[in-house]
Formats: sequence, structure tokens, C-alpha cells
Amino acid sequence: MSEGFYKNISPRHVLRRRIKVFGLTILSTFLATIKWMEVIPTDSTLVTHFLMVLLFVLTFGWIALFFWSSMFGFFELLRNRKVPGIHWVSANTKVKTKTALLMPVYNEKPQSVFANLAAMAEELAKTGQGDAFDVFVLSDTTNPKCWVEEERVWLETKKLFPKEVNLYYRRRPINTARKSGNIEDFCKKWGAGYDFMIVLDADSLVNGKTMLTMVQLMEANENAGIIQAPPMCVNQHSLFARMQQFAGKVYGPIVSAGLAYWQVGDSNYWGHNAIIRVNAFMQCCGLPVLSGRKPFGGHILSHDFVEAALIRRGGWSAWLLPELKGSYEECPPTMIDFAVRDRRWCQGNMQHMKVLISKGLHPVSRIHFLIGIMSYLSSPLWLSFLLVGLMIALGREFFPPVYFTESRTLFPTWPVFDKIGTISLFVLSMFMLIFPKFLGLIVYCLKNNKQERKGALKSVLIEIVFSALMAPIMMMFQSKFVLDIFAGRDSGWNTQNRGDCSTSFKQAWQRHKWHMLLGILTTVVVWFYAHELFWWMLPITLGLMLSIPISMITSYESCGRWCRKHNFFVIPEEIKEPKIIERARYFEDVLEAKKQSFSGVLEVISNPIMNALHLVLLPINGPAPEIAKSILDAAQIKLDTFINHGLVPEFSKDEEIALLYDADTLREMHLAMILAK
Amino acid sequence: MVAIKIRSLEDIVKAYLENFEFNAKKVEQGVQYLITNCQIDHDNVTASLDALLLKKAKKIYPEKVLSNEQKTAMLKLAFVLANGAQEWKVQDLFGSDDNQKLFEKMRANAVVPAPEYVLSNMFPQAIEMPDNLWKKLWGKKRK
Repeated sequence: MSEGFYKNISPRHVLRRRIKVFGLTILSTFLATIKWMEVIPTDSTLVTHFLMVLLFVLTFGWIALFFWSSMFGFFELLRNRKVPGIHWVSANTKVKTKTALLMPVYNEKPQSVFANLAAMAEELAKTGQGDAFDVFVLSDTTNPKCWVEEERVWLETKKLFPKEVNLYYRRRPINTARKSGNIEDFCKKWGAGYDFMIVLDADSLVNGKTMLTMVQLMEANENAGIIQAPPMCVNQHSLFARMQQFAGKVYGPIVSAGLAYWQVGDSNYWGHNAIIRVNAFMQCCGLPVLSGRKPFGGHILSHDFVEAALIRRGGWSAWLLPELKGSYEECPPTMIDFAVRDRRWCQGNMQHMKVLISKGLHPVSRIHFLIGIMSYLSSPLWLSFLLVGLMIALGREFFPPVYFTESRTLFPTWPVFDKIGTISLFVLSMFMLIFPKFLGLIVYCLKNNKQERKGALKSVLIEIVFSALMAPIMMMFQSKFVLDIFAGRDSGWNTQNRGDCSTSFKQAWQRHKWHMLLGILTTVVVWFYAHELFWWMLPITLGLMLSIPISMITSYESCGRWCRKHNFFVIPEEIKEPKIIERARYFEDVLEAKKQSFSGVLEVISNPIMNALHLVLLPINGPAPEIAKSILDAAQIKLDTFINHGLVPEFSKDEEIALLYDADTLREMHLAMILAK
Repeated sequence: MVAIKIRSLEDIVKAYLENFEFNAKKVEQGVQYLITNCQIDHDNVTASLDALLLKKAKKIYPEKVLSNEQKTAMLKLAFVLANGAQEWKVQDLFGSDDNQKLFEKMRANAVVPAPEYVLSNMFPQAIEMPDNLWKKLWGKKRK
């Protein structure tokens, strides 16, 4: 640990914190494993015995780390202690630096993205220091209609922006390295002009005061490379999303505080709602292309963890500060959307196996990678654990124990099964999983008023039931993802569904049919051949059997609204809506009202402002990608038919892109449109 | 290039001016002005009018490093965004006289997509396994 790394604590103090959390994790895992070794049936083979112990250590250790981290987080919150080691400054401090707000987008709904930015800019202006910020929309959009819409909405939003905050827009024609490449492209072109950058996601909303505090903290802590403001899920209405929001609100604070407790200045970066020191980032965080084939090789997908590790390797600190409130995001509205996002994240985290052992990383950075990997690998481990247990039970059914071996003995060899021991370990595991949720509830009740607390306890109880039912479904999803990745299948890059939209039976059947069939099959097998396991397995098999209705019901907005009405899963942000969320919705309505009758290239040739705007922006969109002349010719013929005969054409994506890059055609066609009128 | 139906010179100039949101009277006057006072290539009317506009755009935005097409488009856009058609005539935009008030307004309404580049490098960092990792892990045992 370098000298002067922390402001007001010693490195030994930080080490003591880590020893406490990891020492207790190791100790509790060790004691539980000894007990577990006693309760494993004595008739199991050496291989199954070894497997059961190994899987137990990994899965229990995972729960224990979560438990102890949450415990320390709970006490930190009770004592109202700020994260030590960082110098806090007065809210009135005038900033002397320039910060860029970066909004990378990829085929997102422009009205929502720009509305959020307008709300944030308005808040920044209110702080009186708005001129210290510039906003960049960094588009990687490939959908031509979305591209044109982004340009129009950008121009409309500029009119809504306060004068002191600039709003810029640029689009990349080729999306090298996805989001990390997008940010890197910004850094290479404009990074040198800025001290800090606040990286956002398409659904991010951060209070003006919070952003200003982040800048002030960066200025006051010259060693800080990254400061992460933990985002809170808001704004969604489906039952699934409501449960996520509520869980994030109630349990999130102790989880964040727990992580901050032992990570201190070696924290992680979650990819958005964080401020980064630009020169440190440019110095340390250029990402290489990993050797080997996809999915392990190629561009790094979950770049955020790697960037945090690299910036830490470069001697800069990274902070997770739960004290930074007013940082929001939206969670996926349905279980299927959640799984789709998880598939991408899973691949990114598995890719970290390659980075984990790379040279010079701080040990805590390696732990971040391990936690990320384990958060997905734990699912196939749990599944294996269950399967091995089931196999032992089935083995006993089909291969009855040998009570009298060939060597003559006085007494029969009874297979020993310590039922009490097994139950006590099960209860202990459940306690370690569920107890932190109640600690979160205690903190939530202490920090919120009566109206906000209403319905919190019953919501926690229902959330526990639902999360228990959904856990086996997610376990199956994630196990498949891990297998897919090891089989070399790439996730691709799909836009995340952010709007509320319910899951149809067809969609649910497609995604969950194997979960349901597996649940039924396991139930039948267990009922007939391992009856003593039936009730033990029921929480898992029930969730799988009901996967289709669970996925559908939790996706309904109507269920979410019913819950809201009956005080289930209500978060304080719904009772007293933060101004920034209200303003973002207002700006979205304003921008939605300006939608045009034509979209894409037809909008560019029919609207004089859009025609001129598109031509002005064309060079910032970079050189046109190579598209065959025959595609452009075909597109021009369709356009001609539209202008002369009014037949609205259906362009292919390539045709529309080719036209949008052909400035001459766009100019001529615009004139032809006016003449045709 | 897609064929534009054959039209008279007046029609094309009129259509071109409608882009700037001039009212009918100003368009009529503008058409007469452009046809009588400016050299317009009858085979390529749009290019001729764009060339006239470019001359003005170069005067208004001398410092901007932009292509000719982009400068022309920028002036068109600024004129429409500033509601220029209400304040000025076609002559002000296409004529050789420099109207400083127009210039100022067009500069103020110029759409800037992004600031000037401040180019710098960002090199890929080495993410590699420690030297002789396998030796370290297994080598000692072999000895």
C-alpha cells in the first residue's frame, strides 16, 4: 500500500477490517465443513464424499462471505459511519475542474435517454456550477431509424438544456469493443480536455448535487481514480421489477456498506454512475484484446471490473461510497429480461478467469474477479451439489447397503445418516442467507418515516418466498449460461429491454419449458425412489415446476400496480418522488410529443431541418462503412418510387444505412420531395 | 442518382428556397432575384445555389474546419433554427453584401455536434500471466 494512499486511517486499520471479514468467513466455513463431513452418509463412495465436501466448501464459503460482509455493513450503518480514508469536503466548495458526463447508447429509445440528461443538466445548473460540466451522448447505434431519431431528439434536447451546460452528440459507425471501446474513443478524441468523466448508462439518473459532490471528492482526493455511487433501482412497475427495487432499497444499503467496509480504497467499478479521473484512466485502462477465441478471448466484455483493477494497479484508489445518495438506474422488468442481461454479464465474468491471474494486480482486485466469477459459477456448483446428494439417495435405493460384509463381524454395518446434523446445517445456511435481509429491514425502518415503513415487513416476507421460488429457476438459467460459455457460445450484443412489458405464455414456455419438465421429473423420481428427500427438495422442485406462471405473473404491470395499491414493495422514492425523476418524465413527454410521421431516411428527406442537421452531423458519424453499390442503387430506386408514386418503401437495414451516408442523394431527394409536393 | 422529374428553373429554385421557410412572397421575390442576378447552371441548379450559399457560409464560419457540404448545411440549419426567414430576405442570404447582424445570428445558431478534438493516446495495457507461472506452480515439485 503506497504512502499517503488513505487520508485519515492507516493501512493496518484497513488490513484489520479485511482480516475480520475474511477470517470469520474462513472460520465459519471451516467449522461448518467439519460438521458436514460428519453428516455425509457413511455409505457414500470416496469420490462422492470428496465431491460433497468440495462443493460444500465452495457454496457455504460463498454464503458466509455474503453474511459476514453484510453483518459489518449493518454495524457501519447503525453507527452512521462514513467510509474512512477519503477526505470529505463542504458542499459549497467551488470546483475548479471540467467534467464530462458520458452517456454511451446503443439502439436505446432516444426520448428516454435525452430526457434523463435534460433532468440531470437542469439539476447541475441549479447547483450554480453547471458550467463545470459538458454532456456527451456517445452513440453506438446501428439501427438507422434510431440513429436519425437520436439526431432529432438531440437537437430538441439542446433547446431544453440550460445554457451553461453543453450537450454534444457523436456516433461511431463501427462499434469496436462495444461500451469500453466507445469510452476509449471519447478519451482519445476529447479526454485530454477534461479532468474527470462521469460514466452513465442509458437508464442512469444522478442528482446534480451528487455529481457535484463526486467532483469535489475527486478534487480533494488527488489519489482517487474512481468513485462509484451505488445506483438504486427505480421507475419500474412490473411485480418482478418492484421486488428488485424493494430488495435493492432494503437490503442494498447493508450490502454496499459491507463491501465498502472491507474494500475501502480498493473497491470495484460497476460500469456506470461513477466518476473517473480521465488522465489516470487513459494512463492505466487501455484494454487489450484477450488472446484466444470468443467467448474467453476477444474484447473484454465486463470491462468495468478490469478497469477498476487496472487503475488500482496503476497506484490510484477506487472507492465505493454508499454515502452518495441520489444515484438511480432501472432494473430489467421481467425475469426473462433479467436472464438475458445475466447471460451477457455471465460471459463477461467468466472471461475474467483469464484476467484473474495477470501480473501486478492488487489482491483485493483479484477478490473482485473471484466474487464476479463465483456469482455465476455458484449456480452450477449448487446444481452439482444437489445432483450428487440426489445420486447418493438414489444409489441407496438401487444398491441397498451391505449390512454383513464378507469378513465375519459381530454386528451389522449400519449406514449412518445424521439427520439432526443435516437439519442444523440447513437451518444455519438458511439463517445466513435470510438474516441479513432482516438486518436490512431494521436499518430501513430506522432510517425511514412511518409512511415509508408501511408494509415493509410483509413485503420482506413475501420477497423471501418469491426469491426462494425464483432461485432454482435462476440457478438453471445461470448453469446453462456457464455451460454455453464453456462450450464456446458467444452472447452477442442485444439492447436491454428497459420498458415495462409483460411475458406472454409463448415466451414463458420457450424459456422455461425445460425448467418445468425438470421440476416435474425430479419430483416424480424423488417421490418414488428417494422419498425421504421429497420435502427437502420441494422448495427447489416447486419453483421449477411453477417457473412458467411465476415468470408470467411477475412480469405483469397490473400485478405490480396491485402490490403498490396494497403497500407491497413500495419504496420511499414512490411515496415522495425525487424531483429529478419527475423532471425526467416531464422531459420525456415533451420529447415524445415531437415525434415525426416519417422515420429514418424518409424523415431526413422530408424535413428541411432534419436534412440539414443530418448533413451537418454526417462527418461526426465517421467514414461510411463499406456497402455494396448494388445496395445503394436498390435503395435509390425505392426512394424514387416513394417520391414519385407515394409508395412508402421498406428498406433493409443496409439500404437505409447506405442512403444515410450518401449526402448527395439526401440533398437531391429532399429537393425532389418539395417539388413532388 | 435518382431521377428528379423535369421541372422548370423557377420551380426548382422555388423548392430550394422553401427549405428556408420563406413565405410565398419572399420566395417569389427570391426566385426573381436569383434568376436575374446570379449565375445558375440550368443543368445543376441545386449545386449552383449551394455554391452561392457556400460563399456566404465561408464568410460566416471562417474558423470552422468543415467540408464545403457541411458548412453549407450548417448555414441552412442555423438559418432555419434562427427563424431567419422572418427577419431577412433571400438577397441577404445569397447576395454578395455582408449583413453583420445576419452573420452574428448565424454564428450564434451554429449547431456544434462536438468540441474540437484534443487528440491523445491510450495504449492497451498488458494483461498477462506472471512469468514462469507454471514453473512456479509445478516446477519446484519436479525438483
